Amino acid sequence: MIQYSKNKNNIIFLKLASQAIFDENNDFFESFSNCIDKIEKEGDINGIVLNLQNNKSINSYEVKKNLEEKDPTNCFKKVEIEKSILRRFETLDFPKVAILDGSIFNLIFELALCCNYRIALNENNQKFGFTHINLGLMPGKGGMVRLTREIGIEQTLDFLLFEKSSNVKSLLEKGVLQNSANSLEELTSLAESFINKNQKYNQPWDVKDYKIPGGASYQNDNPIIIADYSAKIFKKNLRNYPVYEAIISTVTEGASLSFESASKIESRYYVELVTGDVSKNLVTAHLIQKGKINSGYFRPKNKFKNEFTKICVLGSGLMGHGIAYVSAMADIEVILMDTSKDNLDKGLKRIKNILSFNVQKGLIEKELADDIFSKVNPSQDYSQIKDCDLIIEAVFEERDIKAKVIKESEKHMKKSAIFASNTSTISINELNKFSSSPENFIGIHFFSPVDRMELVEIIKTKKSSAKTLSCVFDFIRKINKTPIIVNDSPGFYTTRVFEKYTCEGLALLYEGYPAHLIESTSKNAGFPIGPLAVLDEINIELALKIRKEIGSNLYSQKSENHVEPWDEVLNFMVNKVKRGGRSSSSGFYEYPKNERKYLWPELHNHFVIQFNKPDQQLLIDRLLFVQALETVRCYEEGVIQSFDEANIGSIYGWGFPAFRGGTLQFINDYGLVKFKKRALELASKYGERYIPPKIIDRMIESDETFS
Amino acid sequence: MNEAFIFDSIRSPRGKNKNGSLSQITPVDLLSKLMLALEKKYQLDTSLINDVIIGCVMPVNDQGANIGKIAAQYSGWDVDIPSMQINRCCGSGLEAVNLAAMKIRSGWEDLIVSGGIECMSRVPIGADGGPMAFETKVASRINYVPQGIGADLIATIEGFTRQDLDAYALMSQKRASEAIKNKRFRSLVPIYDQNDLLLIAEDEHVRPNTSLMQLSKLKPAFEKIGKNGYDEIALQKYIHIEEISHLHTAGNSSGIVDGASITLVGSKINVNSLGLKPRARILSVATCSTDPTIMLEGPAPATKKALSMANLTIDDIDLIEVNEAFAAVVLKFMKEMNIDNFDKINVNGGSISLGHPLGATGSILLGTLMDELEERDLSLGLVTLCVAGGMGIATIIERV
Repeated sequence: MIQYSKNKNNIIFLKLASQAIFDENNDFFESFSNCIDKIEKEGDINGIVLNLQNNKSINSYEVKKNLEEKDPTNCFKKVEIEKSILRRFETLDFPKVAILDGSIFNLIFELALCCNYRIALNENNQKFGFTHINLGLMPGKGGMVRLTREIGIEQTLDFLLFEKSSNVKSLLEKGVLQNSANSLEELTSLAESFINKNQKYNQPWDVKDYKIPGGASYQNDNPIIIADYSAKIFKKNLRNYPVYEAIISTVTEGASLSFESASKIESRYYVELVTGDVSKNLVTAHLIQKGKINSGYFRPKNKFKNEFTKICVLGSGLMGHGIAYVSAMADIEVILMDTSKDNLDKGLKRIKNILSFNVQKGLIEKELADDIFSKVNPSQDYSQIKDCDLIIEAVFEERDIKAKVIKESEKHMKKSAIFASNTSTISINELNKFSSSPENFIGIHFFSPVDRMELVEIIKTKKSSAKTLSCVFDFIRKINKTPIIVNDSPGFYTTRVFEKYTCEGLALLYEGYPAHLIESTSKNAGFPIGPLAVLDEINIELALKIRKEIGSNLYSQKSENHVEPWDEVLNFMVNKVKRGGRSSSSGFYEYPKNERKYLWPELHNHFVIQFNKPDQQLLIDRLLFVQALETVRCYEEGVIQSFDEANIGSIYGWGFPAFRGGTLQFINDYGLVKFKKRALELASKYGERYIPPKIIDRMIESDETFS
Repeated sequence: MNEAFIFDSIRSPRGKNKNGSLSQITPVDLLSKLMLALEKKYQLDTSLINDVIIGCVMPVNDQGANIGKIAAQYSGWDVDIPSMQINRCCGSGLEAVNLAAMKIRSGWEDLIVSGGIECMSRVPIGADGGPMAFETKVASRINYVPQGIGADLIATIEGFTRQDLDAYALMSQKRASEAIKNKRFRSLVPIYDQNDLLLIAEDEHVRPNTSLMQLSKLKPAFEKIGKNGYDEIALQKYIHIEEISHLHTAGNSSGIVDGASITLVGSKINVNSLGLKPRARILSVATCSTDPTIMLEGPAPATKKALSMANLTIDDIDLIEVNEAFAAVVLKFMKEMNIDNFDKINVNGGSISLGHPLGATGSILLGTLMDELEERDLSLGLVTLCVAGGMGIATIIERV
């Protein structure tokens, strides 16, 4: 509900409290419209204060409602009705002030833009803007029309395309906010004094002869600026996300027209985005599926609880220091163990670096950073782990080394403690053999860099108990990561499918496609990094090791002397030309000091180019299909157990294009029948890895999609 | 079939951009000076002119609203002369002539003033906006990149080096300065201001003392915008190219200048009744469309089309004017047409040395070609230009 009140100075206060719930039973627009009715019936009014708080329910309901929209006719009609309510408010003949009491986003920020004057609480960590752009949705209630008229084309585009949200200081500079205050009282008094000074007030764009600051799209330098933004969108690889193009079109087309026409143009682009696949995929993945996973939907239902006030991380290397850092961030005391002081110092230094980077960026205060750092206690002494609830080993990816630390830890850890092995490939069923209590043993797969990667794969075995799984799940949530639960199998889920991407890249190279083309095609398909570049990053030697680990277990049916093309390439790189990847400054790329990397010029002396001008779509299909098909196999085998986790794992784990909604949603969008047909085509030309699993046939028969 | 004859083609000198002499008069005034010069030269009864067709690529502001009609009126020409302004981008000036030829050959009209104008100091490139470059969803769907990127892409694909391009540019400068010294541009008309003070008598853009060393020091002109995103837009289409080499500079690309030209085209009737003497006849005209991203590959296919229409081969042609929009455009044209030396190509320089007043260039090149055919007493000539948006245009003439 919107709280309605009137004070003794005849000022109406409309308060949108943060805890108010808006949903299908309590429609925001209806409620707002009722307020306007009431205002119109009031006798003496001097002005209106819109008191806005960070209400999450309005925005999430708005997004969920959009998810249901499939029919453009209805969608357009609805948008126009909702817009007319905001417009009705905007054109009320009194001064209207928005006071922003907390961070304000999306629809609520659009409400603020309907006011003549906007004042925010002066707090640096408060943000205002349009975060839904990241979900493929642009403001659609007149917000873009108003913002363009308020601050001009260039600033509007800059804000919407790149910043999306910003703090008080920056928005005051841009002219989006008009004032700031240090307390709620000051906010209110500033609002009242604005109202007292202005008896009547129209938006500047509702006054005759209004001109947009900086001119319309074909005036001044605007054409050049707009063309430059278009190129930048391309450069940032955002062309797969139609929202950016829609924003530029809406802003530039509308700038030379009346408010009403500009608003209709905004609606048309908005409807196109809302009813399109991309925004639905982004909302479903980033909001719905991730939310479902994080809320514990896939966690076993029980009351087990563990606060994890103290944990131990074994190994302070690349993964270990990151795990220690994210745990300390979540207020958990960490024993960071390693075999030498030197290693420990290196790990601590890395943690310190992340913290000071965050302080520099203004993300955390210096005191907090010091406090977090003090939670990490370095040690070389196993006896220190006796009171830890969870021991995570993140030592080198070698069975023997892992076996050793498992045994050594169990000598010291308390009986109820959970032991988790962090690994991307080594079978948990093999590792838990070294444990005396396999029910307390589980696999955790963190991604590098741990402080930035949101996903964690939890690998359970038949022996791990429900308690162990539940508690580890809760731990992952406590450190603010998104856990997907998978069953033990070679490569688990993410490594197994991601590996298909790199292998396909290598197969293309082996078949004679130019390396640069493999790389650029992957980017065009929506991947953040090409298969060759990513192999260099992982280290080619390690990739070869992973191949042996997964390949020998998964595809043992192949005859011994059958060598797959990707293995051939990996072998060649590691053993023949000894180019191990980025860490050794030579891999598929050359890494000159202080200069941009470039593809190793001799690569094609060994893998001779056969296809100079191939059909790019074929390559894109091959890269996407191998991953989608391997996911289906994982799903069929029960390695991954849900549609949601499969999609989220692919997007957050290895950067499968989010606009495609994840590996299984990609098949849904492609259409199962069409997908099967294309897979069989690819199988007949490029090998049995493209043969669709049986489950696809079953689903086609019963007319199902993945869900 | 009615023959389309060219009676004459005259042009203004090409003035430097912004600070040049021609920036001091309006486009209408400039065009009008040429009209008056033509009228005076032949004591032309302007009431006999059936149409005025003027090419202009930025037909806005000073050049807007059908500049041909305004200039004819401003010149005091007969009030009954209709006129139109056309835009086939860089092919406009030649298209105006070709269109006039088609009208004459149809037999429906007998005398037409065609030509083109571009005062780039006053109405700069981009002044007409346009969705190709400035509307994001259009630019994105058609993979639009600025022409310089297309030129660099041609050089990259064809393997032209910076030295190749600079050497060509140097030749253009040498040939142009020789031509000026030897008074080879007989089509040139000096332009005077309202006080009859001489504004400009010769082409201003040429740099006779340019050296290869100087040319090699110039910075690539399109690297910055390329790196800003346009390279990737082009490469999304040209996926077999790893990286675009940015080789074109201000020195080996066409110059931005002011200029105008008109060409008088008519039928045989005029020869008898007006006593006009035909200098050449138009054998064939052609246009074509090519990939809009690389944009500049039109001259060869347009030429092939025109040659086949006239039943000729490229070896039959005595002199060729292929517009020097960028050095790579000329080199690419030669490669595609199997021309292995520069003997017939742009013998008096071209747009690199003399400048490229967009809408006027086609008509200017035709005049230059006719002058030189006469000078050398040769017969067949070809004019061809690459055209923005991915087109090409060509005209083949024969001296009479």
